[in-house]
Amino acid sequence: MKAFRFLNFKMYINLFILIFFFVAPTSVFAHKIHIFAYESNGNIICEAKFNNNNPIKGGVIEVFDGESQLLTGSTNEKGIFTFSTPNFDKPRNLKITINSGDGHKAEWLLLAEDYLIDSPEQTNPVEQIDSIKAISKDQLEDVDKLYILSTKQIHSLIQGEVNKRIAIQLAPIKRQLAEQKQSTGPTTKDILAGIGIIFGLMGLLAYFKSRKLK
Amino acid sequence: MHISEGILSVPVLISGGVITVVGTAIGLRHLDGEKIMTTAMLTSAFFVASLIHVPIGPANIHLILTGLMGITLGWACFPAILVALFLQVLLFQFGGLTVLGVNTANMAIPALISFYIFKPLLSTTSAKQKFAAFGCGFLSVFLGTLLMSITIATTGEAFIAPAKLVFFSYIPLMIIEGIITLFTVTFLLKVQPDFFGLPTQ
Repeated sequence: MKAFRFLNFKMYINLFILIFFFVAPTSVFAHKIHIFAYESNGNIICEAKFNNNNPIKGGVIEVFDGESQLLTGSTNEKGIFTFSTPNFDKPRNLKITINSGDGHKAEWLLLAEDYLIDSPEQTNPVEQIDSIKAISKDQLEDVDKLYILSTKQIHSLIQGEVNKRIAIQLAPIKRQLAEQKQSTGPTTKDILAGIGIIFGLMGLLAYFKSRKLK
Repeated sequence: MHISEGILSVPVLISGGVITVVGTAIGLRHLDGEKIMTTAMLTSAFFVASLIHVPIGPANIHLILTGLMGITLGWACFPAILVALFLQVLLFQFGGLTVLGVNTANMAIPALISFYIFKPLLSTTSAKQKFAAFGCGFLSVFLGTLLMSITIATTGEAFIAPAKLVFFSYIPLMIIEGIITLFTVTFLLKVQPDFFGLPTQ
């Protein structure tokens, strides 16, 4: 026993603290990963994180349009991957999957109605704004022409601008909603239920074993 | 230590499932009398342990407790781990039903190996007891991580590098698990030796 005296209590505590401070990054100890996606101003933004809220860096993202793989990519330092909203002839749901490489995978279904907010007609004004700008810069003196063009276009110009503003303002709300849609962590109820079930099962086992003995 | 669904190939899933079924069948035979209560307690501890993250410094770590389960329960660690993992799938959505077999085998096999290596040492001198207690905690996480890394690496060349990373990042946990198991086992040996099937001193 004397030889093991150096293994005293204090040393354990010190060793313990030391190890904790030099422990590797947290991410690999996750049980679960999450991904969620939302549309913002013509882009689809995917955010991936571990269940302790750390971003997944360099996770492999795959996007499926229901039939085939649409595109792949990897998340950045903040666990975010962005791609421009795809144009389909008919609305399609997007399935976005992430593989963090350490044995975890998650997926998110982005419904067509959730990202196809702007109809093709509504996206036109953005182009028209540019064309108006182009005219106004080149032919500033020709004011009358600008007025003639604007009767219909002022309306769409305002609409386009408003849409843009709304998109910017809605982005954080959409993000929050998408984030909340994910299943949250286990609750106290889940934990107590689990422990209850375990003891119940063992009780059942004890009952059957005791009957066998008789 | 959970592998998610949809990653592993079918042969790997099936072999994991077969190992778990066989192990559980043998484990249930070994479960009797007073061992049932111990098993229930350790199963609950294992079930909850993965939720308790200890964030210290940049680290955020949780215990796995397979070493303690192995040295205490022997073959009964198979049904214990299976039940706990099954409930984690149901209630916490950790892992998945199809990978349940693989996940159980990855944790129960190391526990069983530590049982056979270190259990005989528990009835010897105090120094050897301490060595055995640390060893079963360390070895079970070591082998468990090794098995998990191998399982991930089977999915393809691209996953060999991340699998290695997973293995190396678990090394601190192996040491911590060893120390915690050392404390727990030496304490239990003092106050409740029959926990390990040893005569009361």
